[in-house]
Amino acid sequence: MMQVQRLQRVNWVRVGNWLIISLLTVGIIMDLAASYIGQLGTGNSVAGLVSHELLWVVVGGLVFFFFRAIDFKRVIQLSPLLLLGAMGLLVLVLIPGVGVSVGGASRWFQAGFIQVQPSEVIKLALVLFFARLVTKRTQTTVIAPVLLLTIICAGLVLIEPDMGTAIIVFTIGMASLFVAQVPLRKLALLGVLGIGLGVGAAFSSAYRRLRLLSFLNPWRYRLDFAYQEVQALNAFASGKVVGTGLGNGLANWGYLPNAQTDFILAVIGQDLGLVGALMVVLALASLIWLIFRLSMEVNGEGEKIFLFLFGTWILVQTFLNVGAVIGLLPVTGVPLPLVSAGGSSTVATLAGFGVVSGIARKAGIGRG
Amino acid sequence: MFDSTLHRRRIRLAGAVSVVAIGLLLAQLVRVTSFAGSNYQTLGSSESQVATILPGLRGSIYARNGQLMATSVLRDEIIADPMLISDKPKVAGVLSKLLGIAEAEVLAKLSVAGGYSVVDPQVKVTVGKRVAALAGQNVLPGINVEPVEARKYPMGQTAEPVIGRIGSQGQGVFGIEYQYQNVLEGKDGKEVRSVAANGLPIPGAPISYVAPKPGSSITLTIDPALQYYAEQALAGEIQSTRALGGTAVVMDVATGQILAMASLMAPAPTGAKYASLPNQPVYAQRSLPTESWINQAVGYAYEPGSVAKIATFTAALQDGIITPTSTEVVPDHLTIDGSNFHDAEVHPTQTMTMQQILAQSSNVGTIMIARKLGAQRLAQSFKRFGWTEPTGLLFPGETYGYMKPTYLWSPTAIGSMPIGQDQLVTPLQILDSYNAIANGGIMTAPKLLLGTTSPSGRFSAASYPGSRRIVPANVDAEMINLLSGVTGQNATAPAAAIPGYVVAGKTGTSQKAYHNASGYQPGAFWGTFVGMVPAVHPVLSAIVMLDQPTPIYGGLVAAPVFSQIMRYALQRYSITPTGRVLGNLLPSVPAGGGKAGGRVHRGAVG
Repeated sequence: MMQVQRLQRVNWVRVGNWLIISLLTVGIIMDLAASYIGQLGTGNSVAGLVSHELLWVVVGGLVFFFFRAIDFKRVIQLSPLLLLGAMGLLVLVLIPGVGVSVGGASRWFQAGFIQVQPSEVIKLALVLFFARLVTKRTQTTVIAPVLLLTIICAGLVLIEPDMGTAIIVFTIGMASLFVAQVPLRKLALLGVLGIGLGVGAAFSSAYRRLRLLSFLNPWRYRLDFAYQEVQALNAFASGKVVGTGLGNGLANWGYLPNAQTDFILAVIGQDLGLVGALMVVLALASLIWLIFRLSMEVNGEGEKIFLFLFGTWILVQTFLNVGAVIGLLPVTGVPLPLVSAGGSSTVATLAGFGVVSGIARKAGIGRG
Repeated sequence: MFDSTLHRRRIRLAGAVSVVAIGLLLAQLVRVTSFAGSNYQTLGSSESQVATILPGLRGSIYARNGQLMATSVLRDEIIADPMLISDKPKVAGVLSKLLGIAEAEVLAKLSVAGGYSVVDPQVKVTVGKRVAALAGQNVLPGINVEPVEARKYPMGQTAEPVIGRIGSQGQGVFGIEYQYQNVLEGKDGKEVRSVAANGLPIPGAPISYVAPKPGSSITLTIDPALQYYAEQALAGEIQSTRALGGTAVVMDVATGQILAMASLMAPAPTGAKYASLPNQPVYAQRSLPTESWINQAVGYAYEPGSVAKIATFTAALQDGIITPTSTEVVPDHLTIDGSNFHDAEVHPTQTMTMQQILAQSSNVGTIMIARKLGAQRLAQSFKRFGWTEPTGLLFPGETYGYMKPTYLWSPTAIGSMPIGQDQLVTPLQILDSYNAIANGGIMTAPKLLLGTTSPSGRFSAASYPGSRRIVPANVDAEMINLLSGVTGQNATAPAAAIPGYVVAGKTGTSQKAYHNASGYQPGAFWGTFVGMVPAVHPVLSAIVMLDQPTPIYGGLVAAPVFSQIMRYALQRYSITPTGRVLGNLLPSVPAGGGKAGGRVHRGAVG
């Protein structure tokens, strides 16, 4: 309990909460900065755009407090239902007419003015369900069901197609086996096999290969495959250390595709410079560190496993997003947790943080 | 079994991996923000900055009374990028209503291949603004509005060969517009702004702004009312004589200022048939008179005919070879080196006064005087009248004719030169020489420009070479007296007479040579009348020339036009028969002379 006491000296839960609030706030401000010029062109209200985003944050907040309030055991108990529901939605979204196709990808349901993206829900459902599964199975019997579920879910997401989320799902699966204390040698074998299969599939066509590898030489492909990447790098280059100021640059003026969603960090890098971008990445890294730390400190196998899996999810998603935006990785299209605009992503992420917060509360951390 | 220690260890392992991953991200972040390649740094400006040329308006051209003859206004050009327009019928519908162009026509312009199509080269700025606003709201995608300059000529075609016109790039291509390009042209400004990907300008100050500078304005000596009247009178005569064209120039005697300069043409329409008139081989069918392609007063050199006799007579008077009262026995014809020279009509050998020789335009009489004068003196006389010299007007396309130097003269030249053959001269050069006679023997350069006005409104008068005396005053007075006989009865140009005024002048009728063969075209002539009024104290001088009229004689075709134009001018400027100018439309004479009624008065010439 020494560790817990040490944690209690600094109110880490409060720090985490402020980090979450700060990231959400930065997200909303940058969303406005990235889209108001484009919004002027459509003649729609800029306020409407912001209130839409605010609404999702409010919904996400409610979900956060809901998951914070209910007992972790209950959440785990309900996780098979959540998983079944999420998988059902993943199947449904593929049916033409039911799902909405945007840019050739069927990832969304349209319900009135809001869009729901089931692939965001599946991550939360898997994290919860795997936490349950790992506690119930041995190091050997856990492998088959985890692999099966991972393959099914990653496959469904890949068909949409949504490669980024598929990679996250795969990583969650691998992390489950890792946290289930499956021997590293077996794990390495499975990992190499999975990654090999994934890379093979991704590079199966010349077009996809070019699309994926264009990030290695973005300037050469700046007019087609790497257009978005080059725009993002230009945003960082013009932002320099302290940035150009809010709303003042190409990324704000519609030259950077998906500026307010997947590429929000480029807008931050341009408007707020290296300082702003570092602060955002460090804030996310701190949250992940807090989650891992909590995973070591709390009692309860399920809690430990859940926290590790959730932390891995946020880590991988952050890495995929930031890596793509700054030209380290191919663009796979995942949002930056808590910062990117997008309802489903914000709500699912906040739900996860709600569970984390509930665990911390129950463990007595952050109570003065 | 779940092992907490192993769990801890595995989390530390995962943590280590995370630290490496996040470290990579941070390092790359530093790299892309602080050590970016130059191409990434310059991309921003190249992609989003749009430069707009702000036209520096060209200066205006004013008539002497301040009336606008040419001016520039700002207009907007509507340009489409058809590749950016997906719903072409919808855009065409909206544009059609705004521009007042048929929808089908707009649609056709939106449907051309490529990314550039001018929908309307000039619309009013208010319309352009509305189009730009709708383009910004994405109602008219792919439509751009650019400011352009439009040249307007409020007087329409009037004086077109003088004023000139501008080309598609906004530069003068002929006339005053060309001659004073450097004065008139404005300097374009430039504004560079950032625009969003949807084409909206980013709010705030422009990135760079260079203000456009308007050009200077020009005031001409032209009197638009007289110009218009002269064109009408000339056009009427061209029509009734079925001439190919003609020119008429009116000049203020004392200053050399050109008050009107008309140049019209009426070419044979395509496919016109030869007329079956006797001795008339030329096309007799003509188009309606219009403004000519060139300013014939300065750009058209021709064999002037008898108006050239001024050189022989002035020199002979000055040298004492003849006196106003001396006589000459004139035969029907002269043979020089095998060539026959004769008068317009057959006549027996008769004694003629100098006034008769000039008034009846006797070639034989004039040649007899010229032979006494000699080639050198005759050539000198032409030269001092400026017949081979530039006039100083420097009008674009101006020519100054051609006269052989005496060492190249053929034996017959002493016959042909005095009567205006074998030489080329422009109508303005002829008028200049007669204007010098009208001006008491003082040659004054012709002028079209009163001055320029800078954009700030400062007027600077045009400078011209000074005047110079070319004929002694007494000889000049005798010449005016002799020329006054030309418009009397039994003379060549009674039609130039104006009731109540004495008109002095000279006719010229000259045969047109073939363009591509030696010899003259039968039936094709130039008819000229040049003169001054009132002869007692000339205030105005003018020349009228008709190209290929029927009848052919200057006294019959050009003299009436001279009379018609001068009657109007005398009335317009309120000029009395004694040469007093009562009106205030004419320029006041430069200092040096006594002023009365705004004009210098010279004593009436005998």
